[in-house]
Amino acid sequence: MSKRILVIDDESLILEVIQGCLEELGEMEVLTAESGLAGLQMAQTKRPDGILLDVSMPGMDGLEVLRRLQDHETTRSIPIVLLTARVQPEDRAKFAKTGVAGVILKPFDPIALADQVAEALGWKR
Amino acid sequence: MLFVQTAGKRDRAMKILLIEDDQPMGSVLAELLTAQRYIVNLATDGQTGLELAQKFEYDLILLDVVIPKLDGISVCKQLRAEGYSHPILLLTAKDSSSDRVLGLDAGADDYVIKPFDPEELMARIRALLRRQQAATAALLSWENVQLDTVNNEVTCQGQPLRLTHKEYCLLELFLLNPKRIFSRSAILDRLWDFAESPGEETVSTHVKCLRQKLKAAGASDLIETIYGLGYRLRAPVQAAPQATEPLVAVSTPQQQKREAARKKVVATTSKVWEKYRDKIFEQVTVLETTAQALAAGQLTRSQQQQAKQEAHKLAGSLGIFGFMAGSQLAKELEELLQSQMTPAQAEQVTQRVDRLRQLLNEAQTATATTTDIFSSAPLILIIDDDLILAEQVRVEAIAWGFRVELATDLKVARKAIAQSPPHAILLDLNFPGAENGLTLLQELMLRSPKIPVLAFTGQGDLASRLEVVRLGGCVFLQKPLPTHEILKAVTDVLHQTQIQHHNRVLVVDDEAAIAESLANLLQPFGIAVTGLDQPQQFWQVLTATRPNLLLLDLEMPGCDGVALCQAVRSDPQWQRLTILFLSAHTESDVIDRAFTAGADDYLNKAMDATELATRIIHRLKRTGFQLASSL
Repeated sequence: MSKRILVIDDESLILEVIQGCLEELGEMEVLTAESGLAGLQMAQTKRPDGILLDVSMPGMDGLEVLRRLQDHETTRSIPIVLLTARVQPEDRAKFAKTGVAGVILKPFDPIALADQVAEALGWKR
Repeated sequence: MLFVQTAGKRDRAMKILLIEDDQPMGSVLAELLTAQRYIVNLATDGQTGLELAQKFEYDLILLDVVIPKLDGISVCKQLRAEGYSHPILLLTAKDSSSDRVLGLDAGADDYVIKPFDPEELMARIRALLRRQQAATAALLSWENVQLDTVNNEVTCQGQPLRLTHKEYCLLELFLLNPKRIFSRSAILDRLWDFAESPGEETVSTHVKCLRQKLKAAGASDLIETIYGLGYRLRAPVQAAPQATEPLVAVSTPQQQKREAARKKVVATTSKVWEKYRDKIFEQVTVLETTAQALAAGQLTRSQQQQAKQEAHKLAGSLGIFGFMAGSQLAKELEELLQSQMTPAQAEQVTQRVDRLRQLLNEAQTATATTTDIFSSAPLILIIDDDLILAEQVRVEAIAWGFRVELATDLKVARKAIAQSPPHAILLDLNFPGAENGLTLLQELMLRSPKIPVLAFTGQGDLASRLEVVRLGGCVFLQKPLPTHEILKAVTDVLHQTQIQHHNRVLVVDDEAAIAESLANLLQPFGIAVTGLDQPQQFWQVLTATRPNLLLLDLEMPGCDGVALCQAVRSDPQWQRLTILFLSAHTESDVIDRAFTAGADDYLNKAMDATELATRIIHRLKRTGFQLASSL
């Protein structure tokens, strides 16, 4: 059975590309949310197997979404991969402490993305 | 006899969390455990202990029952509820049997009654750790490497392998967790005491040493560096029946399916680009407006903030569509827009915005589809025997949008160059053996078409620099250098090389013969010449041809060359274009007018056409463009 992944990013063009990549090359069922709040609600109701979460979003940013996902009983066990354009070493150290399954840098390679996500989430390919 | 450099079986890098509020007792216990070469973290209350246990991984927890903030029984219960599976050893008072019962019910493995005999405590700890170890495989294998966890011995192809304590622990960590990716910081948490707090580069160094020892012993590279995440045990290669099969690529149904999926992804990405292209161009327009406001000293705070956000979005999205250089420019813009800018930084903003617009315009006018752009992502070959460094550059380079190949020796490098010539080479000069990087550099310079080579070396002496320049290396980078600096140099070199395809001169003169004769003279140098004898169409032709150099006649019917020059200089996108005047006038006030309007040079029409062509070539070279004949 294919894995269900929730992608949270405020940019619709990024969401569309990611959806294509993960469906075609990752054979995943992809849910999308265009804001942190929508993502949180969807995570609670749809219970995805994993979440790909953009760090930099207006309003509730990715790290706040991450904190709330980890705090909430129904979502705390869902593995999360962060998507970020920040590459400073201090950012990486900060992300490492959040307990996420991985970090993928933007811009990503559309061809490699599904493999990177599956690897980070420990899903067999 | 095979061995690792650790003294005995029990002194592996076991991490123990000691939760004890009584300071003298805590110190004594910590000393005892440290003397036995355990790594000890001490927490003086239950809450801190619980947080440490949740955050870091410990092989055993030594837990006093009566402690402030959160009692030991509750700590134990909560940890077990969260799935903590390592041993918990309780320290209880002599008269408190109820605590012991409660503790064991809460998930503790054993207890020791205070005051305790140190020997007995150590024996119980060893017993618990042994039990834990026995639950894991005693003999861990990966291809021809074996690790005996009971005797702390490692062999490769049956031969003993001498590893340091930390290398052994690293190897064991990977073998015990074959699917798991460990970030450098997770490895630090597992194998180092946080009081030591070494940097993450320590992990890289130990991984490098372990890799080298395994390689020297005849093992494959079992540690895989995972892009942006850390390290993981590589899946072992199965015994290879392919070795006897013909070396013909046979595509399996699975491969065919994947190839079809890959094509769909490219098509989807291409469609998304088409759909959002206008939006992306609007984002660039916001940046252009910002650059103009900045140049005029009228940039508002909110405008700067908005521009920063647009730059951030572009940085994250352009590379996805194959515009890696665009992503890089946007990243640089985002950084520049972080704070208040000096005039020099404002100038940098303008330059980058111009380059970004130019890049996207070129992509729009080019016939290349997004598919073509993907396959043409620049390929960088890193030739360096320092695997860790090469890996670091590789990981970062992928994020910068390059395709990357690694070669750890010159032989592999030659093969890689022959198979798929890279767009640029990052070449270390020091290699063991008779040949060094300079040998390869010399060979590469005889090659056609030439590949730009960036020498990257620890030798910073003048002789080495001169030798690199003499052999045709285009950039000299001295180690150590931050990865982003290295990649910036690579980007600059590639940018210069790409421009050679766009050497274009626009000649605006009502005498069409001038442009024709220049076209004949400049074409062999790879310079395209566009002639325009009707200045009224100047702006359309300028934006359509995007020249690197503009040659203007001074007087044309119905149009003044000086006015055109001023118009170009007042446009932020074009203000840095090289402009030469070509005129029969020799009066000094006329020449002054041209220079005041922003001319870079003033040439006399009486000049011989060959000399004129030479002057144009020199001008183009000075602006950093490379000519076809010199490449």
